[in-house]
Amino acid sequence: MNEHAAIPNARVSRQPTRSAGASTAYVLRQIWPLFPALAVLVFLFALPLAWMLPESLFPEGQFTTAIYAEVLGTSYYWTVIGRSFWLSLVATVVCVILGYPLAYYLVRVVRPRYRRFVFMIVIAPLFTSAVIRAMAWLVILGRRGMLNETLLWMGVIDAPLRLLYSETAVIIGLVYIMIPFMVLTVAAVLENVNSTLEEAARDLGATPLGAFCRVTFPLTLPGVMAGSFLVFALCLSSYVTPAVLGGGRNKVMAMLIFEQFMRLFNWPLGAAISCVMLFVTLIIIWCYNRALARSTGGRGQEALL
Amino acid sequence: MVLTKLESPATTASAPRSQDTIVNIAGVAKSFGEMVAVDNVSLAIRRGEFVSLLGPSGCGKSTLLRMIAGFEQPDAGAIEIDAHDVIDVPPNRRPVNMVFQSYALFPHLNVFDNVAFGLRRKRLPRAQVEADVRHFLQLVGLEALAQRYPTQLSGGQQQRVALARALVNKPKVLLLDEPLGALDLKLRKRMQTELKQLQRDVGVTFIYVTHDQDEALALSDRIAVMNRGALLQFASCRELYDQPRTEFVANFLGEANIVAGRVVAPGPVAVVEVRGHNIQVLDDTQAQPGDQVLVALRPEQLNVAVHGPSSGNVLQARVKDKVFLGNAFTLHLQVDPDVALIVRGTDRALFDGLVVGQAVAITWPLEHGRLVQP
Repeated sequence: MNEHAAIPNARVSRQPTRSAGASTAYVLRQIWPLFPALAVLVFLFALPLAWMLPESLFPEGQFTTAIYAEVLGTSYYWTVIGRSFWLSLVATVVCVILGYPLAYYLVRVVRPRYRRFVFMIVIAPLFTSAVIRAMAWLVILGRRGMLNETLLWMGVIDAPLRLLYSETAVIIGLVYIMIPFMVLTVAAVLENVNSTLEEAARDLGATPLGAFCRVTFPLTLPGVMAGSFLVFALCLSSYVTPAVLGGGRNKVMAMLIFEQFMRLFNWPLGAAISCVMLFVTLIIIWCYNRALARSTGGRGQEALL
Repeated sequence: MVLTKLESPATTASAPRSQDTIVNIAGVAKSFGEMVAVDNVSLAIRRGEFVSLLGPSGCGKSTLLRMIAGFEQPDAGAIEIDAHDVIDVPPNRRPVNMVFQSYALFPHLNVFDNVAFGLRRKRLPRAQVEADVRHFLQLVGLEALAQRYPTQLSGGQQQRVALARALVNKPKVLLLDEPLGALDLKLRKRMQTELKQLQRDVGVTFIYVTHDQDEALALSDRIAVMNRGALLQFASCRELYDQPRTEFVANFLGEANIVAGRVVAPGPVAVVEVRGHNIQVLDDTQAQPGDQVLVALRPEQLNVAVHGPSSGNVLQARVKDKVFLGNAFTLHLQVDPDVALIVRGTDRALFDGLVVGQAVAITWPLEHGRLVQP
């Protein structure tokens, strides 16, 4: 009874703080730490992005959809868009396949006191520039590179393999660069999955593989999804790796956009390609999220996006 | 009444394995690095029994339970469940199920799917899974919440789901690792009653790990008291309370006054000299004359008299303090500058008649004084 009586009182006492002036000051006090990050986002990301649309729709001050018609009507652009998504997709899948076991090993096998050290090893490549790391792959995959030389010496092959300047080379380079992001994301989620749950599954008759498939993996799915988004987005926007390892023939979107802006100075076309790419990406993410929500019954995964 | 039904001393750790033994643990040891978690423990648990493993945290009781479940491998010794050696059997193929301290309910599955998990691993027909799950959810009173997820349940409800999830597999032994530890006191008392009732209903052997002596006494048929990896005593509640073998057991189950003395005359009824008083105590430790020994005296089994007898089991003392507890009282009595005893009673008239500093005599019947090992 007392609880019921207390509620109206609480409402009354809260009312003075509801006045407009006080609440604005309160909100400001709460959110001011956001301002620097917000400023960076607005000026360096949102405004340039917002500028893309008018740039592509009003190339000479007059509204026209001609540029979009050109982008959408040219099969070459679709080939490049398709290649970009395909390479990013394959690289993401390979990152999951290689990164998940590594994350599992880090969290479940490595003893806590060595874990920080092993994490450092995983992150270490990120301290080097992407250009240098792409160059390193040139040395390894080249016609007279380390890999071909080794295989020739071992007698596995008679003539050097054509590894460089192919989609395979680009995927290898992307996976190499992106895998720390996948490992760190999955490991963060896996650390929060209590290993007692795996024991409970074993106790209830599940084999080690069964416990993993029915308990551990479903519970780390949000981490796999988040890692996949991150890696996919980074792959899609990567420039250096495909430029160095793809050898100009295997163009991706980022290279195409760079070319339009910086070499051909066709800013409206560059902006239009950017907008198409952004639109397609958003659609893919939306579909992915819908599929994810359905597969998990919409439960517990809300934090993802 | 049960008062007359004393357990025979043969129900201890060294009891031979009978037809009725469901879990037989023989000489099991386990170390983690330098730390000895379980040290040469042997005990035989009977079919249908409610056994508690009782001891302070870190005494090895949970490790022992985890070895029965198959989550830890013993360094030495044998574990048999229903006359089968299970040392090399993985946890998923042992005929036991466990209720974890934190319940370990699968957060991505609803109550029904949590309970059905074990049955589905056995690939039982759908209809049977459905029927069994419904039956056990009904048993724990949760049939209405089958579609809820664990995070939508209270602690007590989660506890019941964990019980149903384990029992639905019809294990030969149910292992419980401090299952009530996370609940508040009131709920814990209620769950204790339910748990005991449930155990009677399903007739499954329960092995229950706890550090709470009251809980162990309230639930168990027999209690195994452990400390520092060693099994100290395995006996019925009454035997443990009335005939503790060691100082630790005497102190851990209930309260005990532990008094140091020296053996004057050995035997089943030994004469021990305590600060100039000769007292008679029961001894099954075979103490020798001259041995320094400990005598355990329960506070509520001691009597206080203003004009006590001058012979027999009597210690002269002075009242140091008196504490009123409502339904009982406690007297702090000083026998000697170094020896203080606590006496508990309910005789209001006696309590009110005593004053601090008064000389009194402490007496007790012969069977309530025992020699215990340090």
